[in-house]
Amino acid sequence: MSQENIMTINNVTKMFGGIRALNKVNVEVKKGEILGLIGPNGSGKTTLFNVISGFYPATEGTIEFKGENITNLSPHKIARKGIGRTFQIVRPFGDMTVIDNVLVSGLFSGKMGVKQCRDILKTTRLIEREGDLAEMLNLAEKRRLEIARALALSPEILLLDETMAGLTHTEVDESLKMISGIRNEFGLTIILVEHVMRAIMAVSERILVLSEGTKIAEGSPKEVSENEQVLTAYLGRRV
Amino acid sequence: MSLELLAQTIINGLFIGFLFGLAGMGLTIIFGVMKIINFATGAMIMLGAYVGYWTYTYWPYSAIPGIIVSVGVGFLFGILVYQVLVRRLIGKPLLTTLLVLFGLTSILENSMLNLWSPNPRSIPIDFPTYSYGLISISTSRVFVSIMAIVATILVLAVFKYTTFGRIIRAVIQDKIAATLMGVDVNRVYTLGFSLGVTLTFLAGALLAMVYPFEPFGGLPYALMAFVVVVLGTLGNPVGCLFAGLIIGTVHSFVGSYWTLNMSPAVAYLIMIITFLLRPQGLMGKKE
Repeated sequence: MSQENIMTINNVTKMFGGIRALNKVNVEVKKGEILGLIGPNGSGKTTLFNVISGFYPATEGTIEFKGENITNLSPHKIARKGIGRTFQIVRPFGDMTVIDNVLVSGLFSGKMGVKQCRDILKTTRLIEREGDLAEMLNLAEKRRLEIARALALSPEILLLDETMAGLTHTEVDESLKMISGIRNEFGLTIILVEHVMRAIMAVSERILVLSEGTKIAEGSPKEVSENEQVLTAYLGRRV
Repeated sequence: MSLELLAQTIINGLFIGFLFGLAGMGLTIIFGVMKIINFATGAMIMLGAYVGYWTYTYWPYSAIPGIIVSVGVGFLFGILVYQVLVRRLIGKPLLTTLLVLFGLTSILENSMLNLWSPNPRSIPIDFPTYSYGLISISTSRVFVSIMAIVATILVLAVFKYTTFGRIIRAVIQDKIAATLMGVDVNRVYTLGFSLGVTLTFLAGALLAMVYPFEPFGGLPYALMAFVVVVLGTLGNPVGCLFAGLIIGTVHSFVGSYWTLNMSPAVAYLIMIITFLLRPQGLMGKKE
């Protein structure tokens, strides 16, 4: 794993009217790392994802991806440049088959054929269900389908937004294994937002903590879990 | 009430049903993709008819070029209308769409009137008619029906098996998720709208081979197309074809056994009943 930066977030601020959802956030994302993003509800995690993927324009600041300024490009252009993401709320194309869901991004980006798309389904353990309609899948499978669709863009960075919410203990373990697996198999950089603390601590190499739109800590899982400011943000006071 | 009249009524009904189905498909694809109701459908059907008519007038050897030219012009016209007008209507209130597209209807109809006079026209192709007892089947109607079926199958095949079709289906279901897959929604809208207009033009070009038409003659067809779209489930092309055949048959029965003037009234009664009993349409799933 090199220490080269793949993405740099410089001083990004996002205002919604008078509310400061993100306040001068700076992040350097290293190529190949798994970076965890945590913070209490409403701390700006998903907003940061939305700014990176172009759904919200940044009020201030820039985002550089592989040395290129991608701030405020339209979402489909950012997706094609190699930044894939999943949604907190699953949104598969329900009336389409599992394989067709993956083919939309795979074929359209021109980067993958049917064979590669089926390989992605193997990796995400959905190959047995390739012919079923996406709406027939259970929650864990739908979440894996979200990841499979994002992978079919052959991204370099994958933004995973709470892919483990609502999953059972065993499913979370499987999901963790899969996330490290796809990082190694596809050589990806992964940023994940997660509320399941056990999960994010286990899988992330580095963790970034947001509170009320401001970055309050950054470091290894151990460092972050011992940080006073983090404990205060989560619990209200030092315990 | 003879058996022959009954058979003839059904045959005529199915035939015109294909045309209603095609026009409805044009509407339903546009609605499905971008939630815009093409209120200019009637004028576009007539424009398609005129394009077919003029092609035949200048090249009166076969019916095929008229259809091809009409389809091509429809596609380009669709891109033009989308880029100039419809692009600006996305996400705007329904009333804005209504006014702008009624405006377009007015521009189109009056331009056609000015250019080509109010005289009714029809494409004078000499198709033979076969008679079986009292039932007569004109080959022009058979030809038109086959064309409509071929067009439907083509559209469905494109939807089901091509990348473009998968992308359109993806955009219909979830625009935001499709954007994340790298889909340029504005381009899909352009192509989706032109595809819808193309089918509308095709309906016009086929209609012109069987019925006379004039600049303001599109409204009755457009009205039927709206009923077909509701009955066949919004956004569902296959449903449109079935609903087209049903409404066509009803139209024909009302004409044979009552009076053709009442046909739109009956069609709209069916639409109201659909709204009351099965608002999701024939092909829709229960919400």
